[in-house]
Amino acid sequence: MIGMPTKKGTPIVLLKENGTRIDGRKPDEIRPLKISVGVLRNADGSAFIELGRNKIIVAVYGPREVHPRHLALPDRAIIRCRYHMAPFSVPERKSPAPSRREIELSKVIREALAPAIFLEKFPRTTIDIFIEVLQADGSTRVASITAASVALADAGIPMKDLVAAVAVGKVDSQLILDLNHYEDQYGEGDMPIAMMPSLGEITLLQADGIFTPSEVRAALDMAKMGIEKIYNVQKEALRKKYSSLLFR
Amino acid sequence: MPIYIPRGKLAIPGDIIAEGAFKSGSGTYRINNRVYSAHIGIVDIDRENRMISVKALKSVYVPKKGDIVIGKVVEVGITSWIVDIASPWPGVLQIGEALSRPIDISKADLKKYLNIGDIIVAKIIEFDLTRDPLLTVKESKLGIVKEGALLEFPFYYIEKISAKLHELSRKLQCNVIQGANGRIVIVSKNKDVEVEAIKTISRIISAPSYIRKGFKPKKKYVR
Repeated sequence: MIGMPTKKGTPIVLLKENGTRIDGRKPDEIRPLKISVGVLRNADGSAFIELGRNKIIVAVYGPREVHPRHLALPDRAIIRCRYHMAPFSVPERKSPAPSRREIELSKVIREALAPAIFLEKFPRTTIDIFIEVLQADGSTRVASITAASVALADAGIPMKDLVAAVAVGKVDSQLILDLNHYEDQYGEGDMPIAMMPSLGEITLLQADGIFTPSEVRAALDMAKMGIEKIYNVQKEALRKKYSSLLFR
Repeated sequence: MPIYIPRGKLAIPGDIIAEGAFKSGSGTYRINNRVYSAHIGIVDIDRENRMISVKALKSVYVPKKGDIVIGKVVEVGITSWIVDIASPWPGVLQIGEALSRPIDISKADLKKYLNIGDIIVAKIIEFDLTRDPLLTVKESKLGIVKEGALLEFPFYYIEKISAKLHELSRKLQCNVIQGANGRIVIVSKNKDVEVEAIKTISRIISAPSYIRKGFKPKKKYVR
């Protein structure tokens, strides 16, 4: 790849000639993933996710009473979601005030999680999700969705399925799985996808850049493969915490 | 008709428990001939009725008519008290369900009877999803707890330790009141007995390893 010039003028090679990526991964390889459950004592449910260099903590409260009252819905629970990046999460200090991007991502994440929750079981209540990005390195929205669904399950909220998410991107006309910061910044496209793997339903599908129809199909297949791996890590994390309650 | 997760094993939301002619019980749901888990919990399969349910290890307390709950008064209204009952919906205790004789609400001060922070043992007389749960304290063994210790547990443990609590209250000669909402009140004239009871309960509770690490019962003396 010719590469995009950096600030200093040296090009970044996102895909090397031997097919490996900037961080040495294969095109369809996800970064190392670790999920811990129940890391916060004061939240009803919580999770901490490390996806490559991303570090994100999620706290879930509820279902609980809605304040202010007029936001409550008579037939189902509402979800309120706050995606927030810590000022120190990116190289250049980010203002702690919610940016346009953060407000949008909060909405996107909320809508990706909503189909998985039995909201109608808790009318007139709210489920509050707080997502704090401590360190960002690309694909934070999908990592946030992955962690938030684990935190929701940890809160004891009935769910249809966990939601697992991954981003597919394009560099040098080649599809790659799980973008890091550079691939996101200098690549040709970014397609975050969230699924309820057990049900085979897609709850989030966005795309930046240009993808041909056949690329979209290939990207979906690639995402499904990555999501399957992420789903297993999610389930393993929950099992690890809760199986200790079974054998005693 | 395969069963993927046998009885007594752990299920996670989205796990397919079984396929075929099974009924979906509590904690599960059914789509296209498959029964899925909706909770993190233990699978139970009733072979006679072909009913599958998942008993949640952690869940939200949904009030049920007839449940005894331990509540904390959080608001004094004009004709009622609002009571926190550790559930998504606050309990409502109306004057008529608290006092034996009618009072003149234009003159009477409800705070005299029950004030914010008071702990009560109440019974749920009515609840559906359209209205907040209604409480009563007009039966025997219900009412304000003047003295004692309040312990709060994840909802699931109450059932687990309930058998041992009866034993405990007999042995230590103290009154242990269990709420269906995950709260326990220990009432005794002797403070030492109270402390001993709390210790014993903590010991019963802290059996599993993960709790030993992170969980301490919230302890609070009433008044």
